[in-house]
Amino acid sequence: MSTTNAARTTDRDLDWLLENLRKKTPGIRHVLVLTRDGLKLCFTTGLERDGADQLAALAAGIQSLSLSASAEFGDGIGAGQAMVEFAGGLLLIVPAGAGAHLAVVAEEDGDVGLIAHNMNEMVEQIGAYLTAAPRRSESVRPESVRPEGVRPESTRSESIGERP
Amino acid sequence: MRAPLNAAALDALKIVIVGGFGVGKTTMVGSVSEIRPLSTEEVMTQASVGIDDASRVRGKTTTTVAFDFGRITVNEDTVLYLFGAPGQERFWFVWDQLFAGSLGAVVLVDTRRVEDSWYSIDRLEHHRTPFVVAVNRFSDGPSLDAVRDSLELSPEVPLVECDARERPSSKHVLITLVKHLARMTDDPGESEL
Repeated sequence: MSTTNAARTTDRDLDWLLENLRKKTPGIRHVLVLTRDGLKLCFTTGLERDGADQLAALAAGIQSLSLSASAEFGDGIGAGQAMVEFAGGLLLIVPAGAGAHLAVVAEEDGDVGLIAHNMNEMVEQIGAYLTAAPRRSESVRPESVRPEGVRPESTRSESIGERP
Repeated sequence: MRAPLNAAALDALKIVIVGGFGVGKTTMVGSVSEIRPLSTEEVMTQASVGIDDASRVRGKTTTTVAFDFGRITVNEDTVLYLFGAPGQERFWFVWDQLFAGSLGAVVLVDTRRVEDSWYSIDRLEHHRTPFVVAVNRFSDGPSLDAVRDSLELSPEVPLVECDARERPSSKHVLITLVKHLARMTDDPGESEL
């Protein structure tokens, strides 16, 4: 079983916990657990896959920039909490278990205090399950099977055509 | 559409460093910056297996999830503000913001994965941002002429070799870019493509 499959099993187990957080907190639209390198782990059903991919990438970026801000102007300890307000919504991100963050998209008029409280409460309760282990260093492919970098038969324009 | 800073004096230049995953963008910003570089590197997690192909990037354990920032004074009237773009497709939405107002770009290329740089070059050509291409030599590989052919680079685009880990080498790439920008300013006809 690959690590990816293992992660998917965990996703299913955690789904109802995320849904529970959404249902019990007024104003929460979406809940997502993401890895610190910007990939979705699990999310509530209303978000859909594409939305989850987008939110995972941008939330990881925000958290990383927050950490840099902390390193420059604070104590540089751990990932902080981030909140972004925009017309039509709110985005809150808190650190979850090791290597992961918990992100919530809420209504513009949501109760930030309550939402953040419930998010942190959930991390306290099940943070140990909201983790993303570091990747083990991969062995480099032997020189003999390494594909040639330059592929004269494949022009740039052809490849662009194949891109989804 | 021209970048808004283009009309300004050549004193503070916003430069973006682009290229594929694991090609050395963060390394280059870190090696040349005269200030402590802003780095948004995060540990790669097991969730990225099968998504981020690190099989040909020896010892890579972290990846940029937002952008890098650094600064270098090239000479008394030229300061470069360097923005290193994130490499993976899921972070490409950051590129629009990074490209806004940029005067020039460095495209880093790993000759083992030349195709990874096609997207960067497409974007730069689309934005009409002047750029130079720098081959970050990880090992022996095809000649610069072969790389130029493979990338379908037009003859006026400078193509150089570098070692992104070395400050003088990275600085040379940036000076090549500044000279290229100066040439295009002298000859505006060329910059209009």
